[in-house]
Amino acid sequence: MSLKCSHISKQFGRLKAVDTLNFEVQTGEIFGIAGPNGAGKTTLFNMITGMYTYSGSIAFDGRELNGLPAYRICRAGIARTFQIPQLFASLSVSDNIRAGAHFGSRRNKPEAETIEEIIDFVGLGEHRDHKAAHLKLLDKKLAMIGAALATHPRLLLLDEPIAGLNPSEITQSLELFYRINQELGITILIIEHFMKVLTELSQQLLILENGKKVCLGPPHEVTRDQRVIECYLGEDHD
Amino acid sequence: MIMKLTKDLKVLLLIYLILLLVPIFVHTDLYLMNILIMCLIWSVVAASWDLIMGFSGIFTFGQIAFFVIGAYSSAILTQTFDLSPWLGMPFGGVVAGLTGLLVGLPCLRLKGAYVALVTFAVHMILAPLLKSDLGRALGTGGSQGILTIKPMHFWGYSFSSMEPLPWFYTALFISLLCLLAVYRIIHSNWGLAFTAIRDAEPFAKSLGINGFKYKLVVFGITSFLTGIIGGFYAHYVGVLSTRILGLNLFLILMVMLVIGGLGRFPGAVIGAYLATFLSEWLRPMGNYRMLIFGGLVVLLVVYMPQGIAEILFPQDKPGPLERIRRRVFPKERRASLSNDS
Repeated sequence: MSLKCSHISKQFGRLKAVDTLNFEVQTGEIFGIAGPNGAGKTTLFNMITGMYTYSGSIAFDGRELNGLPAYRICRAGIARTFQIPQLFASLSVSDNIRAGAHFGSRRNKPEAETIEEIIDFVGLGEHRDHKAAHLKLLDKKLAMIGAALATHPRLLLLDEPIAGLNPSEITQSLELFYRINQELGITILIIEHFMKVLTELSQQLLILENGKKVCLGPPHEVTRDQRVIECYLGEDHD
Repeated sequence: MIMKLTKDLKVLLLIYLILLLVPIFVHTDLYLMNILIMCLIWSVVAASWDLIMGFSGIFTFGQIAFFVIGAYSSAILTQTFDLSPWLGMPFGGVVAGLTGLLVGLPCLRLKGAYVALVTFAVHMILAPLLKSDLGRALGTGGSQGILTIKPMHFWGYSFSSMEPLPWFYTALFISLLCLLAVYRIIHSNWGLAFTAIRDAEPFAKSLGINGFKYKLVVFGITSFLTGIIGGFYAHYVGVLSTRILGLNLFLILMVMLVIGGLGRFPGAVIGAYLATFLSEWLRPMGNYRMLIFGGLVVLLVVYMPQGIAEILFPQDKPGPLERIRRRVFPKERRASLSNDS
Protein backbone atom coordinates (compact mmCIF):
# COMPACT_ATOMS: atom_id res chain seq x y z
CA MET A 1 0.00 0.00 0.00
CA SER A 2 1.35 3.43 -0.96
CA LEU A 3 -1.20 6.06 0.06
CA LYS A 4 -4.10 5.56 2.44
CA CYS A 5 -6.71 8.27 2.99
CA SER A 6 -9.03 7.55 5.92
CA HIS A 7 -12.11 9.66 6.70
CA ILE A 8 -10.55 12.85 5.38
CA SER A 9 -12.65 16.00 5.24
CA LYS A 10 -12.05 19.61 4.38
CA GLN A 11 -14.50 22.39 5.03
CA PHE A 12 -14.41 26.00 3.80
CA GLY A 13 -16.97 27.87 5.91
CA ARG A 14 -20.21 26.01 5.29
CA LEU A 15 -18.94 24.24 2.19
CA LYS A 16 -17.68 20.69 2.61
CA ALA A 17 -15.16 20.51 -0.22
CA VAL A 18 -14.08 16.98 0.71
CA ASP A 19 -16.45 14.91 2.78
CA THR A 20 -15.31 11.83 4.75
CA LEU A 21 -13.35 10.33 1.91
CA ASN A 22 -11.68 6.90 2.08
CA PHE A 23 -9.45 5.31 -0.53
CA GLU A 24 -6.12 3.58 -1.00
CA VAL A 25 -3.57 3.85 -3.77
CA GLN A 26 -1.35 0.83 -4.32
CA THR A 27 2.38 1.12 -4.98
CA GLY A 28 3.22 1.30 -8.67
CA GLU A 29 -0.27 1.95 -10.00
CA ILE A 30 -1.74 4.87 -11.91
CA PHE A 31 -4.78 6.06 -10.00
CA GLY A 32 -7.21 8.35 -11.80
CA ILE A 33 -9.50 10.91 -10.21
CA ALA A 34 -12.37 12.57 -12.07
CA GLY A 35 -15.53 14.46 -11.33
CA PRO A 36 -17.39 17.62 -12.24
CA ASN A 37 -15.96 21.05 -11.48
CA GLY A 38 -16.08 21.76 -7.76
CA ALA A 39 -16.04 18.07 -6.88
CA GLY A 40 -13.03 18.56 -4.57
CA LYS A 41 -10.32 17.00 -6.76
CA THR A 42 -7.72 19.76 -6.44
CA THR A 43 -8.66 20.29 -2.79
CA LEU A 44 -7.81 16.62 -2.27
CA PHE A 45 -4.38 17.17 -3.84
CA ASN A 46 -3.84 20.22 -1.65
CA MET A 47 -4.67 18.13 1.41
CA ILE A 48 -2.33 15.28 0.45
CA THR A 49 0.54 17.68 -0.24
CA GLY A 50 0.11 19.66 2.98
CA MET A 51 -1.17 22.86 1.39
CA TYR A 52 -4.42 22.63 3.39
CA THR A 53 -5.15 21.48 6.91
CA TYR A 54 -7.86 18.84 7.22
CA SER A 55 -9.45 16.28 9.50
CA GLY A 56 -8.87 12.56 9.13
CA SER A 57 -5.73 10.68 8.28
CA ILE A 58 -3.52 10.45 5.23
CA ALA A 59 -0.71 7.92 5.50
CA PHE A 60 2.04 7.41 2.95
CA ASP A 61 3.89 4.11 3.18
CA GLY A 62 2.70 3.86 6.77
CA ARG A 63 3.78 7.39 7.73
CA GLU A 64 1.11 9.83 8.90
CA LEU A 65 1.15 13.04 6.84
CA ASN A 66 -1.51 15.05 8.66
CA GLY A 67 0.14 18.07 10.26
CA LEU A 68 3.31 17.95 8.18
CA PRO A 69 4.16 21.12 6.24
CA ALA A 70 4.28 20.93 2.43
CA TYR A 71 8.07 20.92 2.18
CA ARG A 72 8.35 17.94 4.52
CA ILE A 73 5.72 16.01 2.60
CA CYS A 74 7.81 16.56 -0.53
CA ARG A 75 10.86 15.21 1.26
CA ALA A 76 8.76 12.22 2.36
CA GLY A 77 8.48 11.30 -1.34
CA ILE A 78 5.36 13.03 -2.67
CA ALA A 79 5.65 15.55 -5.49
CA ARG A 80 2.97 17.31 -7.46
CA THR A 81 2.17 19.51 -10.42
CA PHE A 82 -0.47 22.22 -10.62
CA GLN A 83 -3.48 22.66 -12.88
CA ILE A 84 -2.30 26.12 -13.98
CA PRO A 85 1.43 25.67 -14.62
CA GLN A 86 3.43 27.10 -11.75
CA LEU A 87 7.08 27.65 -12.48
CA PHE A 88 9.81 29.97 -11.30
CA ALA A 89 9.26 32.28 -14.24
CA SER A 90 12.45 34.30 -13.90
CA LEU A 91 14.66 31.21 -13.72
CA SER A 92 15.87 28.91 -16.48
CA VAL A 93 14.45 25.43 -17.00
CA SER A 94 17.57 23.87 -15.50
CA ASP A 95 17.34 26.13 -12.42
CA ASN A 96 13.68 25.15 -11.96
CA ILE A 97 14.76 21.52 -11.95
CA ARG A 98 17.75 22.32 -9.73
CA ALA A 99 15.34 23.71 -7.12
CA GLY A 100 13.61 20.33 -6.96
CA ALA A 101 16.88 18.40 -6.94
CA HIS A 102 18.47 20.51 -4.22
CA PHE A 103 15.61 21.11 -1.82
CA GLY A 104 13.28 18.19 -2.38
CA SER A 105 15.55 15.23 -2.90
CA ARG A 106 17.09 13.29 -0.04
CA ARG A 107 19.38 11.28 -2.29
CA ASN A 108 23.07 11.97 -2.32
CA LYS A 109 23.25 11.92 -6.09
CA PRO A 110 25.12 14.94 -7.58
CA GLU A 111 22.64 17.67 -8.52
CA ALA A 112 24.16 18.30 -11.95
CA GLU A 113 23.73 14.64 -12.87
CA THR A 114 20.09 14.62 -11.72
CA ILE A 115 19.35 17.81 -13.67
CA GLU A 116 20.82 16.45 -16.91
CA GLU A 117 18.99 13.13 -16.53
CA ILE A 118 15.66 14.82 -15.87
CA ILE A 119 16.05 17.30 -18.74
CA ASP A 120 16.75 14.41 -21.11
CA PHE A 121 13.92 12.34 -19.63
CA VAL A 122 11.24 14.99 -20.13
CA GLY A 123 12.73 16.10 -23.46
CA LEU A 124 13.59 19.71 -22.68
CA GLY A 125 17.21 19.60 -23.85
CA GLU A 126 16.88 22.50 -26.27
CA HIS A 127 15.18 24.67 -23.64
CA ARG A 128 17.68 23.96 -20.85
CA ASP A 129 18.82 27.58 -20.56
CA HIS A 130 15.56 29.23 -21.59
CA LYS A 131 13.62 31.20 -19.03
CA ALA A 132 10.53 29.36 -17.83
CA ALA A 133 8.38 32.43 -18.54
CA HIS A 134 9.09 32.11 -22.26
CA LEU A 135 8.15 28.46 -22.69
CA LYS A 136 5.04 27.32 -24.53
CA LEU A 137 2.33 25.54 -22.53
CA LEU A 138 3.51 21.97 -23.13
CA ASP A 139 7.09 22.84 -22.22
CA LYS A 140 5.91 24.61 -19.09
CA LYS A 141 4.06 21.47 -18.06
CA LEU A 142 7.09 19.32 -18.85
CA ALA A 143 9.38 21.63 -16.88
CA MET A 144 6.98 21.46 -13.92
CA ILE A 145 6.95 17.66 -14.11
CA GLY A 146 10.76 17.71 -14.44
CA ALA A 147 11.15 19.80 -11.30
CA ALA A 148 8.79 17.46 -9.45
CA LEU A 149 10.73 14.39 -10.68
CA ALA A 150 13.99 15.96 -9.53
CA THR A 151 12.79 15.55 -5.95
CA HIS A 152 12.95 11.76 -6.58
CA PRO A 153 9.33 11.14 -5.54
CA ARG A 154 7.71 7.77 -5.00
CA LEU A 155 4.26 9.27 -5.57
CA LEU A 156 3.56 11.91 -8.22
CA LEU A 157 0.32 13.90 -8.23
CA LEU A 158 -0.63 15.32 -11.63
CA ASP A 159 -3.42 17.90 -11.64
CA GLU A 160 -5.05 18.06 -15.11
CA PRO A 161 -1.69 17.67 -16.84
CA ILE A 162 -3.06 17.62 -20.39
CA ALA A 163 -5.56 20.48 -20.12
CA GLY A 164 -5.09 22.95 -22.97
CA LEU A 165 -2.84 20.69 -25.05
CA ASN A 166 -3.39 19.69 -28.68
CA PRO A 167 -3.80 16.00 -29.66
CA SER A 168 -0.15 15.39 -30.55
CA GLU A 169 0.98 17.08 -27.33
CA ILE A 170 -1.50 14.92 -25.39
CA THR A 171 -0.01 11.77 -26.96
CA GLN A 172 3.49 12.95 -26.06
CA SER A 173 2.40 13.68 -22.48
CA LEU A 174 0.69 10.32 -22.04
CA GLU A 175 3.83 8.52 -23.22
CA LEU A 176 5.78 10.46 -20.62
CA PHE A 177 3.33 9.49 -17.85
CA TYR A 178 3.69 5.81 -18.82
CA ARG A 179 7.47 6.12 -18.78
CA ILE A 180 7.41 7.82 -15.38
CA ASN A 181 5.30 4.97 -14.07
CA GLN A 182 7.05 2.08 -15.83
CA GLU A 183 10.70 3.16 -16.08
CA LEU A 184 11.00 5.15 -12.86
CA GLY A 185 8.54 3.02 -10.91
CA ILE A 186 6.68 6.06 -9.59
CA THR A 187 3.07 5.71 -8.43
CA ILE A 188 0.88 8.31 -10.14
CA LEU A 189 -2.28 9.99 -8.93
CA ILE A 190 -3.85 11.90 -11.81
CA ILE A 191 -6.79 14.30 -12.02
CA GLU A 192 -8.22 14.60 -15.50
CA HIS A 193 -11.45 15.50 -17.25
CA PHE A 194 -10.78 13.42 -20.38
CA MET A 195 -12.40 10.12 -19.40
CA LYS A 196 -10.96 8.33 -22.41
CA VAL A 197 -7.46 9.20 -21.27
CA LEU A 198 -8.16 8.20 -17.69
CA THR A 199 -9.69 4.87 -18.63
CA GLU A 200 -6.70 4.05 -20.84
CA LEU A 201 -4.12 5.23 -18.36
CA SER A 202 -5.27 4.22 -14.92
CA GLN A 203 -5.73 0.94 -13.10
CA GLN A 204 -8.12 2.46 -10.54
CA LEU A 205 -10.55 5.30 -11.05
CA LEU A 206 -12.18 7.43 -8.36
CA ILE A 207 -15.17 9.61 -9.20
CA LEU A 208 -15.96 12.48 -6.88
CA GLU A 209 -18.97 14.73 -6.63
CA ASN A 210 -19.47 17.48 -4.05
CA GLY A 211 -16.48 16.16 -2.12
CA LYS A 212 -17.92 12.67 -1.81
CA LYS A 213 -16.88 9.39 -3.38
CA VAL A 214 -19.36 8.36 -6.05
CA CYS A 215 -17.55 5.31 -7.29
CA LEU A 216 -14.14 3.63 -7.07
CA GLY A 217 -12.88 0.70 -9.05
CA PRO A 218 -11.33 -0.40 -12.34
CA PRO A 219 -12.14 2.12 -15.11
CA HIS A 220 -14.28 -0.25 -17.20
CA GLU A 221 -16.55 -0.82 -14.19
CA VAL A 222 -16.66 2.80 -13.10
CA THR A 223 -17.65 4.10 -16.53
CA ARG A 224 -20.64 1.72 -16.55
CA ASP A 225 -21.79 2.72 -13.09
CA GLN A 226 -25.23 4.34 -13.26
CA ARG A 227 -24.40 6.94 -10.57
CA VAL A 228 -21.28 8.03 -12.48
CA ILE A 229 -23.25 8.31 -15.71
CA GLU A 230 -25.90 10.41 -13.99
CA CYS A 231 -23.63 12.80 -12.11
CA TYR A 232 -20.68 13.14 -14.46
CA LEU A 233 -20.60 11.34 -17.80
CA GLY A 234 -24.16 11.78 -19.06
CA GLU A 235 -26.14 9.25 -21.07
CA ASP A 236 -24.35 10.02 -24.36
CA HIS A 237 -20.84 9.39 -23.19
CA ASP A 238 -18.54 7.36 -25.37
CA MET B 1 35.00 30.96 -1.63
CA ILE B 2 35.22 30.63 -5.40
CA MET B 3 33.00 32.91 -7.45
CA LYS B 4 32.21 32.47 -11.09
CA LEU B 5 32.95 35.71 -12.95
CA THR B 6 29.46 36.45 -14.22
CA LYS B 7 28.46 39.65 -16.02
CA ASP B 8 26.97 41.21 -12.88
CA LEU B 9 30.13 40.48 -10.88
CA LYS B 10 32.29 41.94 -13.66
CA VAL B 11 30.22 45.14 -13.59
CA LEU B 12 30.49 45.35 -9.81
CA LEU B 13 34.26 44.80 -9.84
CA LEU B 14 34.67 47.35 -12.63
CA ILE B 15 32.79 49.93 -10.55
CA TYR B 16 35.06 49.24 -7.58
CA LEU B 17 38.19 49.32 -9.72
CA ILE B 18 37.20 52.78 -10.97
CA LEU B 19 36.39 53.87 -7.42
CA LEU B 20 39.76 52.63 -6.25
CA LEU B 21 41.43 55.06 -8.65
CA VAL B 22 39.05 58.03 -8.39
CA PRO B 23 40.70 59.54 -5.24
CA ILE B 24 43.94 59.99 -7.16
CA PHE B 25 42.20 62.82 -8.99
CA VAL B 26 39.77 64.19 -6.40
CA HIS B 27 41.22 63.42 -2.96
CA THR B 28 41.63 67.13 -2.16
CA ASP B 29 37.95 67.84 -2.81
CA LEU B 30 36.36 67.14 0.60
CA TYR B 31 32.82 67.67 -0.71
CA LEU B 32 33.18 65.21 -3.57
CA MET B 33 34.94 62.67 -1.38
CA ASN B 34 32.08 62.90 1.13
CA ILE B 35 29.56 62.22 -1.64
CA LEU B 36 31.56 59.20 -2.78
CA ILE B 37 31.70 57.81 0.76
CA MET B 38 27.93 58.28 1.10
CA CYS B 39 27.50 56.49 -2.25
CA LEU B 40 29.44 53.52 -0.86
CA ILE B 41 27.26 53.49 2.26
CA TRP B 42 23.93 53.77 0.43
CA SER B 43 24.95 51.14 -2.12
CA VAL B 44 25.00 48.52 0.65
CA VAL B 45 21.63 49.64 2.03
CA ALA B 46 20.11 49.66 -1.47
CA ALA B 47 21.58 46.25 -2.40
CA SER B 48 20.34 44.72 0.87
CA TRP B 49 16.90 46.21 0.34
CA ASP B 50 16.94 44.85 -3.20
CA LEU B 51 17.88 41.39 -1.94
CA ILE B 52 14.79 41.20 0.25
CA MET B 53 12.37 43.17 -1.93
CA GLY B 54 13.61 42.51 -5.48
CA PHE B 55 14.95 38.98 -5.21
CA SER B 56 12.75 37.60 -2.45
CA GLY B 57 9.56 39.53 -3.22
CA ILE B 58 9.02 40.62 0.39
CA PHE B 59 7.78 44.21 0.34
CA THR B 60 9.51 45.55 3.41
CA PHE B 61 9.96 49.21 4.23
CA GLY B 62 12.08 48.64 7.31
CA GLN B 63 15.56 48.91 5.81
CA ILE B 64 16.33 52.41 7.09
CA ALA B 65 15.15 51.36 10.55
CA PHE B 66 17.70 48.51 10.54
CA PHE B 67 20.36 50.94 9.30
CA VAL B 68 19.61 53.29 12.20
CA ILE B 69 19.54 50.42 14.71
CA GLY B 70 22.99 49.31 13.50
CA ALA B 71 24.28 52.88 13.71
CA TYR B 72 22.97 53.53 17.23
CA SER B 73 24.08 50.09 18.49
CA SER B 74 27.64 50.56 17.27
CA ALA B 75 27.81 54.11 18.64
CA ILE B 76 26.40 53.13 22.05
CA LEU B 77 28.64 50.07 22.39
CA THR B 78 31.83 51.92 21.52
CA GLN B 79 30.91 54.83 23.81
CA THR B 80 29.73 52.78 26.78
CA PHE B 81 32.38 50.08 26.80
CA ASP B 82 35.15 52.08 25.16
CA LEU B 83 35.48 49.47 22.43
CA SER B 84 36.95 49.83 18.97
CA PRO B 85 34.55 50.82 16.16
CA TRP B 86 35.87 47.76 14.32
CA LEU B 87 34.01 45.71 16.97
CA GLY B 88 31.10 48.13 17.10
CA MET B 89 30.22 47.72 13.43
CA PRO B 90 29.70 43.91 13.50
CA PHE B 91 27.89 44.35 16.82
CA GLY B 92 25.58 46.87 15.12
CA GLY B 93 25.05 44.31 12.39
CA VAL B 94 24.16 41.59 14.90
CA VAL B 95 21.68 43.83 16.77
CA ALA B 96 20.09 44.92 13.47
CA GLY B 97 20.04 41.29 12.29
CA LEU B 98 18.30 40.09 15.44
CA THR B 99 15.81 42.94 15.17
CA GLY B 100 15.26 41.92 11.55
CA LEU B 101 14.47 38.38 12.66
CA LEU B 102 12.01 39.71 15.27
CA VAL B 103 10.30 41.93 12.69
CA GLY B 104 10.36 39.10 10.17
CA LEU B 105 8.51 36.65 12.41
CA PRO B 106 5.09 38.37 12.32
CA CYS B 107 5.66 39.29 8.67
CA LEU B 108 5.83 35.61 7.73
CA ARG B 109 2.12 35.34 8.39
CA LEU B 110 1.43 38.28 6.09
CA LYS B 111 1.72 39.01 2.39
CA GLY B 112 2.29 41.97 0.08
CA ALA B 113 1.04 45.31 1.29
CA TYR B 114 0.56 44.04 4.86
CA VAL B 115 4.29 43.31 5.19
CA ALA B 116 4.95 46.82 3.89
CA LEU B 117 2.59 48.25 6.54
CA VAL B 118 4.14 46.32 9.43
CA THR B 119 7.71 47.18 8.46
CA PHE B 120 6.84 50.81 7.84
CA ALA B 121 5.26 50.86 11.30
CA VAL B 122 8.61 49.67 12.70
CA HIS B 123 10.25 52.55 10.83
CA MET B 124 7.72 55.00 12.26
CA ILE B 125 7.92 53.86 15.89
CA LEU B 126 11.72 53.83 15.96
CA ALA B 127 12.11 57.63 16.23
CA PRO B 128 9.77 58.02 19.26
CA LEU B 129 11.42 54.96 20.83
CA LEU B 130 14.91 56.41 20.45
CA LYS B 131 13.73 59.73 21.89
CA SER B 132 11.88 58.11 24.80
CA ASP B 133 13.11 57.61 28.37
CA LEU B 134 13.80 53.99 27.51
CA GLY B 135 15.96 55.09 24.59
CA ARG B 136 17.74 57.63 26.78
CA ALA B 137 18.43 54.89 29.35
CA LEU B 138 19.98 52.77 26.60
CA GLY B 139 22.25 55.64 25.62
CA THR B 140 20.52 57.06 22.52
CA GLY B 141 20.72 60.60 23.87
CA GLY B 142 16.96 61.11 23.51
CA SER B 143 15.86 63.99 21.27
CA GLN B 144 19.36 65.40 21.22
CA GLY B 145 20.84 62.21 19.79
CA ILE B 146 24.46 61.10 20.18
CA LEU B 147 26.78 64.01 19.53
CA THR B 148 30.24 62.55 19.98
CA ILE B 149 30.80 59.21 18.37
CA LYS B 150 34.26 57.72 18.36
CA PRO B 151 36.02 58.06 15.01
CA MET B 152 37.65 55.00 13.54
CA HIS B 153 41.31 54.22 13.90
CA PHE B 154 43.70 51.80 12.33
CA TRP B 155 47.00 50.67 13.85
CA GLY B 156 47.08 53.67 16.14
CA TYR B 157 46.13 56.13 13.35
CA SER B 158 42.93 57.98 14.14
CA PHE B 159 40.72 58.92 11.18
CA SER B 160 39.97 62.64 10.86
CA SER B 161 37.15 64.42 9.08
CA MET B 162 39.71 66.56 7.28
CA GLU B 163 41.37 63.54 5.71
CA PRO B 164 38.81 61.68 3.66
CA LEU B 165 41.09 59.05 2.14
CA PRO B 166 41.19 56.59 5.09
CA TRP B 167 37.41 56.88 5.43
CA PHE B 168 36.96 56.36 1.72
CA TYR B 169 39.08 53.24 1.48
CA THR B 170 37.54 51.77 4.64
CA ALA B 171 34.05 52.39 3.20
CA LEU B 172 35.21 50.89 -0.09
CA PHE B 173 36.48 47.76 1.66
CA ILE B 174 33.41 47.26 3.87
CA SER B 175 30.91 47.96 1.09
CA LEU B 176 32.73 45.63 -1.31
CA LEU B 177 32.64 42.85 1.29
CA CYS B 178 28.92 43.41 1.90
CA LEU B 179 28.11 43.55 -1.82
CA LEU B 180 30.15 40.42 -2.55
CA ALA B 181 28.15 38.73 0.22
CA VAL B 182 24.92 39.87 -1.48
CA TYR B 183 26.20 38.63 -4.85
CA ARG B 184 27.24 35.28 -3.37
CA ILE B 185 23.82 34.83 -1.72
CA ILE B 186 21.97 35.67 -4.95
CA HIS B 187 23.94 33.00 -6.82
CA SER B 188 23.75 30.39 -4.06
CA ASN B 189 21.04 27.87 -3.25
CA TRP B 190 19.68 30.41 -0.75
CA GLY B 191 19.24 32.84 -3.65
CA LEU B 192 17.52 30.08 -5.61
CA ALA B 193 15.11 29.54 -2.71
CA PHE B 194 14.43 33.29 -2.36
CA THR B 195 13.65 33.65 -6.06
CA ALA B 196 11.59 30.46 -6.12
CA ILE B 197 9.43 31.67 -3.22
CA ARG B 198 9.01 35.05 -4.94
CA ASP B 199 8.01 33.54 -8.30
CA ALA B 200 5.67 30.72 -7.18
CA GLU B 201 5.45 30.04 -3.45
CA PRO B 202 3.09 27.02 -3.54
CA PHE B 203 5.27 25.33 -6.18
CA ALA B 204 8.40 26.15 -4.17
CA LYS B 205 6.89 24.53 -1.08
CA SER B 206 5.81 21.51 -3.09
CA LEU B 207 9.45 21.08 -4.17
CA GLY B 208 10.68 20.94 -0.60
CA ILE B 209 11.55 24.60 0.00
CA ASN B 210 10.87 25.67 3.57
CA GLY B 211 9.26 29.07 2.97
CA PHE B 212 9.26 30.02 6.66
CA LYS B 213 12.98 29.38 7.06
CA TYR B 214 14.14 31.20 3.94
CA LYS B 215 11.95 34.24 4.47
CA LEU B 216 13.32 34.55 7.98
CA VAL B 217 16.88 34.06 6.70
CA VAL B 218 16.52 36.89 4.19
CA PHE B 219 15.15 39.22 6.88
CA GLY B 220 18.12 38.36 9.13
CA ILE B 221 20.83 38.66 6.44
CA THR B 222 19.64 41.92 4.89
CA SER B 223 19.18 43.64 8.24
CA PHE B 224 22.59 42.34 9.39
CA LEU B 225 24.39 43.79 6.34
CA THR B 226 22.44 47.05 6.63
CA GLY B 227 23.31 47.23 10.33
CA ILE B 228 27.04 46.83 9.65
CA ILE B 229 27.11 49.72 7.20
CA GLY B 230 24.90 51.68 9.61
CA GLY B 231 27.64 51.22 12.20
CA PHE B 232 30.22 52.59 9.78
CA TYR B 233 27.94 55.56 9.03
CA ALA B 234 27.70 56.41 12.73
CA HIS B 235 31.49 56.56 13.13
CA TYR B 236 31.98 58.41 9.87
CA VAL B 237 29.38 61.12 10.53
CA GLY B 238 30.21 61.32 14.25
CA VAL B 239 26.70 62.49 15.16
CA LEU B 240 23.43 60.58 15.24
CA SER B 241 19.88 61.79 15.59
CA THR B 242 16.45 60.58 14.61
CA ARG B 243 16.35 63.05 11.71
CA ILE B 244 17.72 60.28 9.51
CA LEU B 245 14.40 58.49 9.94
CA GLY B 246 12.62 61.28 8.07
CA LEU B 247 10.94 60.64 4.77
CA ASN B 248 13.63 62.35 2.65
CA LEU B 249 16.14 59.53 2.93
CA PHE B 250 13.36 56.98 2.59
CA LEU B 251 12.34 58.51 -0.74
CA ILE B 252 15.92 58.81 -2.00
CA LEU B 253 16.58 55.15 -1.19
CA MET B 254 13.44 54.21 -3.03
CA VAL B 255 14.68 56.19 -6.02
CA MET B 256 17.95 54.23 -5.83
CA LEU B 257 16.04 50.97 -6.15
CA VAL B 258 13.78 52.23 -8.90
CA ILE B 259 16.69 53.69 -10.90
CA GLY B 260 18.69 50.50 -10.44
CA GLY B 261 15.84 48.11 -11.12
CA LEU B 262 14.32 45.70 -8.62
CA GLY B 263 15.92 42.26 -8.49
CA ARG B 264 18.64 43.21 -11.00
CA PHE B 265 21.94 43.12 -9.09
CA PRO B 266 24.09 45.27 -9.24
CA GLY B 267 21.40 47.65 -10.51
CA ALA B 268 20.65 48.89 -6.99
CA VAL B 269 24.35 49.72 -6.50
CA ILE B 270 24.40 51.81 -9.68
CA GLY B 271 21.08 53.34 -8.60
CA ALA B 272 22.65 54.33 -5.28
CA TYR B 273 25.43 56.25 -7.06
CA LEU B 274 23.11 57.98 -9.51
CA ALA B 275 20.51 58.91 -6.88
CA THR B 276 23.12 60.19 -4.39
CA PHE B 277 24.75 62.42 -7.01
CA LEU B 278 21.36 63.54 -8.30
CA SER B 279 20.29 64.38 -4.76
CA GLU B 280 23.38 66.56 -4.26
CA TRP B 281 22.96 68.18 -7.66
CA LEU B 282 19.36 69.08 -6.84
CA ARG B 283 20.17 70.32 -3.32
CA PRO B 284 20.05 74.04 -4.33
CA MET B 285 16.42 73.51 -5.31
CA GLY B 286 15.43 73.16 -1.65
CA ASN B 287 11.97 71.69 -1.12
CA TYR B 288 11.52 71.14 -4.86
CA ARG B 289 14.19 68.44 -4.66
CA MET B 290 11.79 65.93 -3.08
CA LEU B 291 9.10 66.96 -5.54
CA ILE B 292 11.44 66.09 -8.40
CA PHE B 293 12.42 62.82 -6.73
CA GLY B 294 8.77 61.87 -6.26
CA GLY B 295 8.04 62.64 -9.90
CA LEU B 296 11.09 60.65 -10.94
CA VAL B 297 9.82 57.58 -9.08
CA VAL B 298 6.49 57.79 -10.90
CA LEU B 299 8.11 58.27 -14.32
CA LEU B 300 10.61 55.46 -13.83
CA VAL B 301 8.02 52.99 -12.55
CA VAL B 302 5.78 53.71 -15.54
CA TYR B 303 8.34 53.95 -18.35
CA MET B 304 11.35 52.01 -17.07
CA PRO B 305 10.15 49.48 -14.50
CA GLN B 306 13.40 47.51 -14.79
CA GLY B 307 15.43 50.65 -14.17
CA ILE B 308 18.94 51.21 -15.49
CA ALA B 309 19.47 47.45 -15.48
CA GLU B 310 17.12 47.31 -18.47
CA ILE B 311 19.75 49.23 -20.44
CA LEU B 312 22.85 47.66 -18.95
CA PHE B 313 21.68 44.04 -18.79
CA PRO B 314 18.74 43.57 -21.16
CA GLN B 315 17.28 40.13 -20.44
CA ASP B 316 13.94 39.24 -21.87
CA LYS B 317 13.21 41.97 -24.34
CA PRO B 318 15.29 44.61 -26.08
CA GLY B 319 16.32 47.43 -23.76
CA PRO B 320 15.43 51.11 -24.43
CA LEU B 321 18.61 51.70 -26.46
CA GLU B 322 17.94 48.65 -28.62
CA ARG B 323 14.30 49.71 -29.03
CA ILE B 324 15.42 53.17 -30.23
CA ARG B 325 17.94 51.55 -32.60
CA ARG B 326 15.24 49.33 -34.03
CA ARG B 327 12.92 52.31 -34.47
CA VAL B 328 15.59 54.37 -36.19
CA PHE B 329 16.76 51.43 -38.25
CA PRO B 330 13.74 49.24 -39.04
CA LYS B 331 14.36 45.65 -40.07
CA GLU B 332 14.36 46.25 -43.86
CA ARG B 333 16.69 49.20 -43.55
CA ARG B 334 19.05 47.26 -41.28
CA ALA B 335 19.07 44.41 -43.80
CA SER B 336 19.82 46.76 -46.72
CA LEU B 337 22.54 48.49 -44.72
CA SER B 338 24.19 45.18 -43.92
CA ASN B 339 23.90 44.13 -47.60
CA ASP B 340 25.50 47.40 -48.70
CA SER B 341 28.34 46.89 -46.34
